[in-house]
Amino acid sequence: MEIFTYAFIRRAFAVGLFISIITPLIGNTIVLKRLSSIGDALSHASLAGVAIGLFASVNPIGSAVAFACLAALAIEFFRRFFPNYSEISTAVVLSIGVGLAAVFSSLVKNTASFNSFLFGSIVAITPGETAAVIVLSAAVIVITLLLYRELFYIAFDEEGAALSGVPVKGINFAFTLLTAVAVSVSARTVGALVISSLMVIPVACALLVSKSYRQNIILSVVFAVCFTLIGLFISCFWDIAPGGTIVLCAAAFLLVLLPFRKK
Amino acid sequence: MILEVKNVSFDYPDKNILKDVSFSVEKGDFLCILGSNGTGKSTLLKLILNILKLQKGEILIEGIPSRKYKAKGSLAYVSQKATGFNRDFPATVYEVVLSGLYPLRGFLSFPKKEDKEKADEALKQVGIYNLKNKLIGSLSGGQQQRVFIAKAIVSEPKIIFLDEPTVGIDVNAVDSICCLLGGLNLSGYTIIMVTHDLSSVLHHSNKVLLLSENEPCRIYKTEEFLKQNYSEHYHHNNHHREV
Repeated sequence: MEIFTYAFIRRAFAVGLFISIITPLIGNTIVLKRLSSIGDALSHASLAGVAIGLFASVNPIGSAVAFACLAALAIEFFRRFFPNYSEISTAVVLSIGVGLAAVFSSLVKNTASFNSFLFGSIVAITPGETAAVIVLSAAVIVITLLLYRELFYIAFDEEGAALSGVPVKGINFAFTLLTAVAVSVSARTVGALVISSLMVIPVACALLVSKSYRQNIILSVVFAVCFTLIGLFISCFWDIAPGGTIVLCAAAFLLVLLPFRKK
Repeated sequence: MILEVKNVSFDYPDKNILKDVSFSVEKGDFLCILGSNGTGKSTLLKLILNILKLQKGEILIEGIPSRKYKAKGSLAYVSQKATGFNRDFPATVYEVVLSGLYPLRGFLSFPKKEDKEKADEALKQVGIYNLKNKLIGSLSGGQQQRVFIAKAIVSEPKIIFLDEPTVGIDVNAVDSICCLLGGLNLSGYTIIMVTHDLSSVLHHSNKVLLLSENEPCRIYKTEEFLKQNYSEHYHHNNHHREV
C-alpha cells in the first residue's frame, strides 16, 4: 500500500478504475452487435489525434477525443456507401488513422510522449487529464445506463427495435460517439493499441458464464475492474507498460475460464 | 372495422408484387394470408406496418391512415426473422418479453413495477412461465417462438401480425403454436398471419386472403375457402371442430 503515497499512482488507479468501468459498458454492445473491430478503428483514429495534438502543441487527449469523434462520423459516412459490408467502413477509417498517426508521429519531437499513448503510461497522467477522464467517464456511464433498454433491444433485434419506436439511427450514432470518447480518454493509461482488447476480453469472459444480459454487463465490469487493478499493481512493481499488463491478465483469465463455459 | 386495405399495389424495382389488393379485417378476426412464394404476403404485412412505404392505395387502421396511426403498442409483429437471432446472445426469456413493452414506455424509460406483472402474465398465457429465467438461446424452436409471441402480446396489442411463425419448427411444435394462436384469438386478439402451413392453421382462422401472381387477390371465409379448394380437408376440418 506504500505505493499509494505517490500522487501519480493514486491518479493512475483512479483513472484506471473509471476506464475499467466504461470500456466493458461500451464493449457489451460492440461485442453483441458483432462490431468488435470498431474499437480498433477508433483507437487508431484517436492515436492520429494524439500525434496531431502533440505536433500542434495542443492537449493530446482533447485532440484524440475530437479526432475519434470525427472518425466515428466517417464510419457512419462510409457505411452509407457499403450498407451490406459494415466492416469496410471500419477498415477504411482504421487505415486512415494508422496513416495519419504514422505521418504525424514522425514529425513529433518528443517521441516518448507519443509512445506513452501507444501502450499506456502511469507516470504520464497529469491532474488535469485525471479530472477530464473522470468527468468524461462519468458522462459515458450515465448515458449508457440511461440507454440500457434501447441498447439491449438494438443489440438483440435491430429491426424489431426500430418497429417498436426505438430511435435506432440516432442511438447507433450517439453510441459510436460514446465509443470514440471512451477510447480516447483511455488511451493515456491503457494505451491506444490495447484499449479495444479491454473492451472485448472482459465481455468475452462474461459471455462464458453469465445467465442474463444484465448479469453479462455486471460481470464484464467486475472482470474489467479486477484485470485493471491487478495489471496496474504488476505494472507499478515491475515498471512495465500498464496497458499490455492489463490485457495479458485479462487474456490469461479468459483462458482459465474457457473450460467453465456454461452449457 | 379494425383494418381496411384499399386498392394497394406495390412494385419492387424488378418486379410487380401486389396489384390492387383490397380486403378488410374486423375486430376479433383470425386472418390467414396464403399464397405461393413471391406473391407479396410478407410485403403486404410490411406495408400495413409501415416498414415499407405505400406506393399506391390506402391502408386504414381503426379508420386512421396507417402512416398516421400512432397508438402505442397497438400493433405487434412477430417477424419471419424473429427466431433467426444470435443464439449466443445472453438474454433471458424474461428480458426479451420485457422489451416488448418498449412501445408503451418509450424512450429513456425505466421498467415499472407493473411491467414485471405484465411480462409474467404474457409468459403464463403462452405457457412458458417456468422458462422465464432461461437463456433464450437454450430453448427449442417452438419455445423460442412462444417467447416472441409473449413479447408481442405483453403490450396488449389490438392486432398481432405474424410472418410465417411456424417455419423451421418441428411438427408437434407447429400444432401447439397454432393452438396457442387460436386460443389468443378466442381471448379477443385480432390475428393476421402469413403462412404456408395450411392444415394446422385453418382450424383456427375464420378468414383467408389468397394472393396469387396472375389473379386478383381474393378473401374468403375459411369454410368457404376449404370447400372450394380442399373439399377433403374441409370434411376433416369439420370433424376436427366437432371433436
